[in-house]
Amino acid sequence: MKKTLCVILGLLMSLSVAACGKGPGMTEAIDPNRTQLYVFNYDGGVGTEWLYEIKERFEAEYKDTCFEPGTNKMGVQIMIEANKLSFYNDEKIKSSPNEVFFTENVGYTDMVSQGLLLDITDLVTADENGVSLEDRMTDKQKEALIALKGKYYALPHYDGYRGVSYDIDLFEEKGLYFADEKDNGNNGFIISSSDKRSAGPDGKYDTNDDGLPSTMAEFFRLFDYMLSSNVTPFVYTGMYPEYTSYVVEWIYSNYAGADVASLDYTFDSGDMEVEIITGFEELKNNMFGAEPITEKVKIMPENGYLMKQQTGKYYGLAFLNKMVSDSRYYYSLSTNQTFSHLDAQEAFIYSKLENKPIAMLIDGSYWVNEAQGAFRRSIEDYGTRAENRNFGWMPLPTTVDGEVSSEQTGKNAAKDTVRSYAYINGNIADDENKVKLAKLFLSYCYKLENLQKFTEVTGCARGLNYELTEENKSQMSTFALSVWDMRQTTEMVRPISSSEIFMNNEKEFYNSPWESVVSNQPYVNPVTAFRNSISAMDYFNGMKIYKRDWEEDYSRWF
Amino acid sequence: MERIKAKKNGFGKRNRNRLIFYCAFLSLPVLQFCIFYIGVNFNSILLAFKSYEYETGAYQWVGFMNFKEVFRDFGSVLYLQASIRNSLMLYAFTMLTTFLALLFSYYIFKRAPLSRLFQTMLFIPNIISAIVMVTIFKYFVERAIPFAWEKLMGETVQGLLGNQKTTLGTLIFYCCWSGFGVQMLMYSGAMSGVSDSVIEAAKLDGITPIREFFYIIVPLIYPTLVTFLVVEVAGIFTNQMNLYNFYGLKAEYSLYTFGYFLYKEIQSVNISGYPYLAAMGLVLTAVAVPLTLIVRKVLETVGPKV
Repeated sequence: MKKTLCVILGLLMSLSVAACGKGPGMTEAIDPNRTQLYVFNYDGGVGTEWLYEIKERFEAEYKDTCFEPGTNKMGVQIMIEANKLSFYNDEKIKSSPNEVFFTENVGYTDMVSQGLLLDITDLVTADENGVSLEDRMTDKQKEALIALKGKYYALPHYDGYRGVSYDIDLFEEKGLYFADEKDNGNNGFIISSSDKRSAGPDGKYDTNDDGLPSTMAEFFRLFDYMLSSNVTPFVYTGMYPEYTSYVVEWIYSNYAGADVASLDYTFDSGDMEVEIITGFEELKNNMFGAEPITEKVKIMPENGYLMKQQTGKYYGLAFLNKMVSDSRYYYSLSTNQTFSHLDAQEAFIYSKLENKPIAMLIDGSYWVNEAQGAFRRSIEDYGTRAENRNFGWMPLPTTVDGEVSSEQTGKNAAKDTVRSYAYINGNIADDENKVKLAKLFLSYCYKLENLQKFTEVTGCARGLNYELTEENKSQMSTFALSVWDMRQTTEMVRPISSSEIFMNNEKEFYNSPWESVVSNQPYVNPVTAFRNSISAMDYFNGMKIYKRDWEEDYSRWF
Repeated sequence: MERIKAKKNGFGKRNRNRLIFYCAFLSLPVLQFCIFYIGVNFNSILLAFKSYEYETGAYQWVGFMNFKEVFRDFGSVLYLQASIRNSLMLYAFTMLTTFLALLFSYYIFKRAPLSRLFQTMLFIPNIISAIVMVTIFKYFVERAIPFAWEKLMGETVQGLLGNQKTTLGTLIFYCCWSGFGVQMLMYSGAMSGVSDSVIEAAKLDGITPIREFFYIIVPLIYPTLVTFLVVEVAGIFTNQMNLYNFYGLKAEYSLYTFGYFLYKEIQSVNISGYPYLAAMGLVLTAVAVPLTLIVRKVLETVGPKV
């Protein structure tokens, strides 16, 4: 017995010693004849396949280049650490052996202020066929990235949207589309697949969103129609209740528009007026039970607290409240705290195959990458029936009811929720050769063809403006194409700004944007309150920030 | 004389070598203590009086500004008030658990039926990884209990963590239960040190088990009990109630304890948030230190003298 124990302990210890040699996820042996460049990749949403693909091409392209003059090393070896356990987005990078990072949840101002990142202005402003990476950024991105020190220290990595995906095959099979003819005897839904569909949220016929709900009211009509067709409208994780807040965020951004939604970080609307709620009129026949009383104001740093009272925020909350208040609308385990986002993805994928269909999933635009295992298992279990599934990104409504006005049509907005950046570790600043190599690799990753390839492989877009070729598109799944289409018609709102208030309190404005206090009970996630029968109106009122508190916290920056 | 001198030299040389050995032996831990305990704590005390400026990328002295913010927030921020309430409630329940642990330890000490089984079962949560235990517990309260309830009562109910009315109670129960094994092991260990002759003498005098527990066992293990109670007081503001294991950084405000709040903030706050947290840490220390000393003094004064 003792001997067995000794052997087990010895093996365990040798394993732990072996694990000390490399970072987690770093499996490749060092080639002493090449120069190594250590690259960290957060192995979450977009995975690491795209990076391995670039590594192969980069190594091949520079196999005859010497990056360490005076040595006999030739070529480069990209050492990838794919890690899900750490973001490496803080002062820990000082002692990290990694030199280039692709990661998420980055507090950009915080890192720049501490001098953790290498200046990459030359890389950002360098021309590639007459177009620099700076040219590919929006004005807001440029302004915010150089706000603190006048230089660029990071590049946007990828845009992560969190919202609703739908099962296109199921929608087609069950006819879950609105017909163009509203009084067609089927409550306005198509009777056969050949029926002409409504124009959808973009207001244009013959586009991908034809027949999809264009208003909040239509969404709930669709839910009821789904129930009558024995389809559960949606599934979401119960383990991470914040996922449901993404729907609130999206509805709000769509309703308010990008210019208004970005005021959450800039606090300066200039001459533009923003609609805020000053009270409610409770109405029984109202879809959400209350009609907001509104007025228009200009937002300035001095009254930035009024952003919490925006009309769009109320409608986002009211929409979610109505969604979760009827337990028939969601999958039974969606309130269960053991039900993870991966479980929700699996339930969504398997539901149609098991004849217990679920129409929609609340998750990020990258969920298909995370669900590769579930897709594989479903094919093993159900064979060809489970192959070539078609999923799409569901456009969310921009208006409450009635017709979508031409003003709102095609002016969708979405918030980037991952704050994903690529940067070079500031701790290599004194190593001229390494700096050159790291910049070369980073700029290689951001060449136009590699931006396109990234989208082709991951189905996600880099946080820059560029187009895809037809060849790229032909390699992409239906879901990836629908996400790309959405991106083309949607203006991104990124949590970044040159506002002094924002820069000095970045995480306060990013973390828990939907927190509220109702009856002296503080809440982080609206869904938790709604499950306890708290109304959207009360939750909205509880989010209010008072002028006195705002001034106490932020007046030193205005 | 020369022999004495030679002896003295030899003694001196040996002492010097020993001294060098001791210095070399202790230098690393002492250095580590100086840097990672004294240095870190001293620095965090200074940090409480500073503020981070993004423009300059450096800390500036701001006097008591962070303390003012801390006291203001204690009065107005609801999750800090919830933290106070939950931390104290958790302490109260831990004390209650201590009494139960004493009884169980006595049961095991008396080698009553199934005592070995109880000992093993109750100690398992301390052997298994906390994350694994939390996952098992979550499945039990979120899936097994609602399933069993539905089968037995025909009524669908939410899981104990999902139902807001039972969440806090369930978390406190888990915290007490998972800490039960250590207490039990500690007390039964202390009880096994009680002299058999004392117990036998008491038995000859016809003592009942209850009287034996209160008049012999508890007084004899009282120093161990005091140590535990004092350590628990000192830990009021650092106990996380396992919230991080259950919810990561996303626990609802109503469940916060100070331990969780501080840990979560350190994990998620940016560099400008550290001074505020340092000030809060100092305020909590200013409460915990005298409280701990008072509790120790009171327990030592009122406790049984053996």
